[in-house]
Amino acid sequence: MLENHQRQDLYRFFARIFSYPDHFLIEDLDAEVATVVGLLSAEPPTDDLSPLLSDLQVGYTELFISKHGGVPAPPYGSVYLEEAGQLMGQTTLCVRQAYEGEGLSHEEGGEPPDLISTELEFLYYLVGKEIAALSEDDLSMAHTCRQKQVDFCHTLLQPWVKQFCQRVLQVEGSVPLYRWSAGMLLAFCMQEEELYGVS
Amino acid sequence: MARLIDKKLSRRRFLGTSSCALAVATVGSQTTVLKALASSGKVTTSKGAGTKDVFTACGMCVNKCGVIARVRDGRIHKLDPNPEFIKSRGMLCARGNAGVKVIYDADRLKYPLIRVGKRGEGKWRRASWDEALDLVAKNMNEIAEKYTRAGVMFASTEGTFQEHFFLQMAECFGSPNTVRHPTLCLSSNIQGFGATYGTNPTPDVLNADYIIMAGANRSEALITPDSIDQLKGDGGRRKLIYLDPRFTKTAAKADEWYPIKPGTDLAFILAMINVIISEGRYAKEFVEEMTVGFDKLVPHVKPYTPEWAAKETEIPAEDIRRIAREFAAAAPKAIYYQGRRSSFFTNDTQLRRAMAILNAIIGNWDTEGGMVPNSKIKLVKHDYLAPWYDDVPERIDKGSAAFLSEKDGSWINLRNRVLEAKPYPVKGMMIYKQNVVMSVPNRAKTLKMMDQMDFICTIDIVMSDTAWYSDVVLPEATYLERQDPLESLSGILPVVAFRQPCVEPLFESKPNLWIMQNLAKRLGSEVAETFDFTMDEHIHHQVSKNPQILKDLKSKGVHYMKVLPTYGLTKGKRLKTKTGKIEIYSANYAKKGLDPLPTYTKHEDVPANKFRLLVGRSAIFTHGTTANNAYLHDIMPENTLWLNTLSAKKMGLRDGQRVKVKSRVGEGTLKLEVTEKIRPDCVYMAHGFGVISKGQSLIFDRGACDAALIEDKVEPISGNAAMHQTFVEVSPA
Repeated sequence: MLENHQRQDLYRFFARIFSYPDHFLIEDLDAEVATVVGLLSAEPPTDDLSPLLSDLQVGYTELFISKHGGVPAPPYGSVYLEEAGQLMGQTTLCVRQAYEGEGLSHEEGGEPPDLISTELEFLYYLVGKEIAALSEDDLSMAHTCRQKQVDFCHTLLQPWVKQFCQRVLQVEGSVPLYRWSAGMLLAFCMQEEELYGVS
Repeated sequence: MARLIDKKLSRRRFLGTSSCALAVATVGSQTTVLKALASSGKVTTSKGAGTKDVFTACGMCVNKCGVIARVRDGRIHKLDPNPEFIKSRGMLCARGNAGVKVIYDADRLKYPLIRVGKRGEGKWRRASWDEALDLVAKNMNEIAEKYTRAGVMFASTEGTFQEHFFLQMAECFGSPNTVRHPTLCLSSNIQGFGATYGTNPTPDVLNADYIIMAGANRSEALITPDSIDQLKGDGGRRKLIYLDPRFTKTAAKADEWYPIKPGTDLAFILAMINVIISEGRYAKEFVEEMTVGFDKLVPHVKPYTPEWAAKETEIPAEDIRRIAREFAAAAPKAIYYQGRRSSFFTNDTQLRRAMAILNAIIGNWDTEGGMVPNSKIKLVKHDYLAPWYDDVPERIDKGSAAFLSEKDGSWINLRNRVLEAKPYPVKGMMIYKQNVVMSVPNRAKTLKMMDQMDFICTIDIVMSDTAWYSDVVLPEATYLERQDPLESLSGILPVVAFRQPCVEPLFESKPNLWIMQNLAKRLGSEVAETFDFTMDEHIHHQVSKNPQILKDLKSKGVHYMKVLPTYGLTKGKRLKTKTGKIEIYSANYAKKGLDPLPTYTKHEDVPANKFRLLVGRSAIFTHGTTANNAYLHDIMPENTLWLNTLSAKKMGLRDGQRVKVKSRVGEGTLKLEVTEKIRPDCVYMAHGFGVISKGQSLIFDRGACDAALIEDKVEPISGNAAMHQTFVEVSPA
């Protein structure tokens, strides 16, 4: 079972890896991957995971922004959860309200709030709050924070994240880092499901 | 500046590897979680906020109908028609209703993209606006330096309300090579009616008692208010005669349908004129007073008897004679409806001239139920002083048509001259929302032209085939996210339409004005100065002589001055022709060596074992722009090839099987639809399918593309495309 700070690290990693890549990511990549391998007791990736930034940006664009055959894995929850696969559905509003309920505002301008990386960032935040509550022996608050994670995951993230990851895994010739990360996210989500079952 | 740096460093740190028990980082008064979320510590709710009804104008096709966007919790929930919008009779069609899907389409363009792989390969990377615009400006300047400013061509399309700014950019950059949609659509109509009346009038469909529609499929090729009015009629007295090689939905609503032999409409009209004149059924006083050249028309139409026309058109002579008599009897509340798209045959301007003349001789000009000159509500124009450049040559397609529009050009002629680099090379393309790959006949040549380009930039909302073949793609905000300039829509009942943002633009899409302004800044101060205004200033300038317009638009989404038509305003006044009268005989044409009266010429017959390819519209789709819309796609997932039952039987083809269609210039594969609804010598496919761009996920690999098959034949007077002069072979796929 993962510790809370480990869970938080993983949420931070996945939020970062599913954001548009920049040179900071390239600099940190080896360390980031090593952390995930350790935490999830996973096999290290067999492919070269030291891509050039330009390759990573093209790969990200192909998978999540624009690609032959349409966007293979749109990184927005409503595409999977709404009829006709549209952006900004009712579930997107629920996601936004979940953020607002925590006193958080969405700062990414025109980006729909149910972007995978933003939802993972939200969970990073909730786990952090739980950690802070536990450090102050505020068990009631810690419980509340855990319950919010469970609710958010069960209703708004888990129903589509597996499908999202599977779509990433199915795209032949895509950047290995994203395929590996999708596999890791799947594994992590299964662990989280188990944890939430206990919770 | 210091705060910005702090913020960047903080984001870097929290996105980085160091773990932190604290959930948030403090940056000044702002606390950032990781990247996208920030905390003010206050619990808020946007539920209910951003709930409003917004007046705007539809952007799904040319009609720009009035819309009320029902915005709920900051999201467009539904689009409803604006009952005050008299031009569309308070209606919103299937496409208009499906507009919500345009804004919330996961395939829409989201960020500026820069091509990384080979052109057309589909490898892109996301770029910032600064980087993308720098690249565009650099390429425009380099091409201008190397080939003159005419070396960059500007292609754009009508109907967006922000096209003016693109054309302004072309002019201020200094290129004469603008090319627009009319020569793929209605330029021969404008030319034919303009040469006769000095304007292209609007048929008063609502009040006409007798309407002849030929190839104008108003029940499916929707034009407001005509598509609604054609069904209303006046007290049941309405008679609708419909001529079309296809049994369309308009045919289904008509009193009589004639599957006329394609390319012979001119024979039908000349025979009608023959009957009306020979039987003395024309409006004698009107003709005497308002027209010139009738005396030359009388002997000209003598040979064109109904019996002669029957052989050409395959419509019985007695029907032609009867229709001519009924038409004249219903005058002046009778109209021979000219339609909109007129890119049919290489004699199309003369066909439209004949329609204009037929209408003129029954005296239906500027009367109730007749052909009414358009009224327009005046808006103050945005003036600017375009920089002057000494070394710029004339349009590359100059002289390619007898009457070439300086702004619109002639698409096929322009492309073919660019391919030959005659008289000079054109090496850059700036494209604003025109899907040229899908819409210009002979797609192979269009792609070859694009291959020749040093640089192509496309501004659009979807990854069209044209965007797919570009080097830089810039995402425009959709019509539901933009504040547009006011647009005066002319007609019998003119209106001013209004488009305002219903919600904030998604992703990093921007309105075209913003794109042009920021590109202009990179092209130099002289160009930038012409764009030195805000949209708000622009709109207030437009209504500076009549502020009531803006008040009406804000309170009811439309401005109009009257709800009932006014007829006869041109009576006793000079028309905008050289003689000031309706020019039945065109001395202007004679001077250019063109037939001054429409003369019938035979088109090539369909060769054995081939079919004439017809193209047309569906009420569900707008050209190539809406087929990837999920709601509309659900109704019509692909186009089919219509083939007559007899022809299919003869060839051993069955309904539903896949067939290959091949012309001299291209081929395509699609599903066969065996039907009685088409002449045995023709086949038909709807426009907008068979895309190359896999960025349009719903329609990629579905159906066939008509532009790949249609040969590039051009009508020589207006430069319009002739889209019904392609023969195809059909075989099992």
